[in-house]
Amino acid sequence: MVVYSAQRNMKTYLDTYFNDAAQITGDGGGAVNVIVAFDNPNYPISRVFIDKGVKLIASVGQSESQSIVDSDHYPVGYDEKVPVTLAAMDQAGVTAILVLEKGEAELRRVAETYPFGSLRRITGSNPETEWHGGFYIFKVQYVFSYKRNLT
Amino acid sequence: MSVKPSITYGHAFLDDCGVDLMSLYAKTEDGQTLQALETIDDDYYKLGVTGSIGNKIGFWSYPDEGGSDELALSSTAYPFIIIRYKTNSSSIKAKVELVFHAGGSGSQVVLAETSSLTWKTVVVAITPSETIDHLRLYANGATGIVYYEFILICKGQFQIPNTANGFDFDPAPRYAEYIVPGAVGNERDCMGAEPSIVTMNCDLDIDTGSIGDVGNWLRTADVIKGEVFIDISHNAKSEPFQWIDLGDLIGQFKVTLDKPDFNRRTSQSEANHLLELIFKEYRRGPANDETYIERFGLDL
Repeated sequence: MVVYSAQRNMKTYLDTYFNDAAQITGDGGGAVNVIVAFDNPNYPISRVFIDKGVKLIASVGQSESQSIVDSDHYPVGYDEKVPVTLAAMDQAGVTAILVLEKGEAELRRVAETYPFGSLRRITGSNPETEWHGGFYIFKVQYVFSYKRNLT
Repeated sequence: MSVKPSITYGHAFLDDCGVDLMSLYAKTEDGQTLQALETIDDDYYKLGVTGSIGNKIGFWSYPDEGGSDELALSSTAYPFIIIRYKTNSSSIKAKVELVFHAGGSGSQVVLAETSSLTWKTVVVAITPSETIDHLRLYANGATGIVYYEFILICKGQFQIPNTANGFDFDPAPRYAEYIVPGAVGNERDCMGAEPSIVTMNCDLDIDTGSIGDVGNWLRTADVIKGEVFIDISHNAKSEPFQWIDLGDLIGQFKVTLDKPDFNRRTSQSEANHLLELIFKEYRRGPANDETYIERFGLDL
């Protein structure tokens, strides 16, 4: 049986719960286009925002993993850390820093409401806003700790 | 393959082979001449045989061979029997048989005729959908002695999914130490000793499978993880010991369970649901007539 990576499981988790009731809105109050994706797509990020009209990206990165070993030396589980980066840029009708704020609130709501299954919790966040030559990508990276058994 | 620790729970019938039930056994001789049933140190039965001819069969029945549904135990509800035995020679044979309610499949030999000069313990699954009427402890095949130390029929053995936060086994010596007035240092005394201690620190957040599966903290119909230990603790009044298997550490013996400690430890961003279990070695008599291998079941 294939054991899914923590990265893949986290994307499934966010696909299920993140923004499921269109919590994230633009400056005018209407729902905006939000996607959940894997990190490092072979596609320019500016085109995601400009050509595809996406207002907020929740991007799931590769995980760090540490095995949890039983007293008999056999692993019984894994403690994994999965980065989730929220990214937005200023567009018509969308102020990046405001939509990012709503994304953060939504990500916290998901973590606070659904910690079970495999055990997930937010363990920290860091701002990672970058200048991309002509525009800023406003970003914040959250880290989910993800404790699960062998499956 | 990892072998996890396991422990019995849910006693239906226990004969600890002391004086309690000894007088209730009934004797049957078919070629074996059985001495009166004895208990040694109020700890184990001695089935002495002084004559052996003909079919060379002799057994003690609990409660007896008459009546029906005397134990009246469902083998579906209580599917396991554990027996500890030894013989004083390789000629005489131990054997244990469960006799089912009339109309069932008759009986089941749960310990086939066998000899062992050291204590052995066997765990046997009982044929399901039967009603156990009575049991027979045999001493067959020759003159000599068969010893039985306990017979336990129970709901099962719970496999402990992990001891991820630590496992301590502290086998105790067979002496006590005391302070001598006016002297420095302890004196040793062989009049008694502390029990051995096993401590397991478990992570309730980690298990596998579904409810009721081996490897899961929940038995079928359990409400909280590790509930089996509340079951064991609550029923300790009527279940004087449990049989523990230490898993890969190797070792099987009788224990009692101290109060299980369910604790939830938190740090700033993490909560852990933990369970601490402290087991104490249980004995009715001294360990003087056992080797350390027999005492701790290292050869089982």
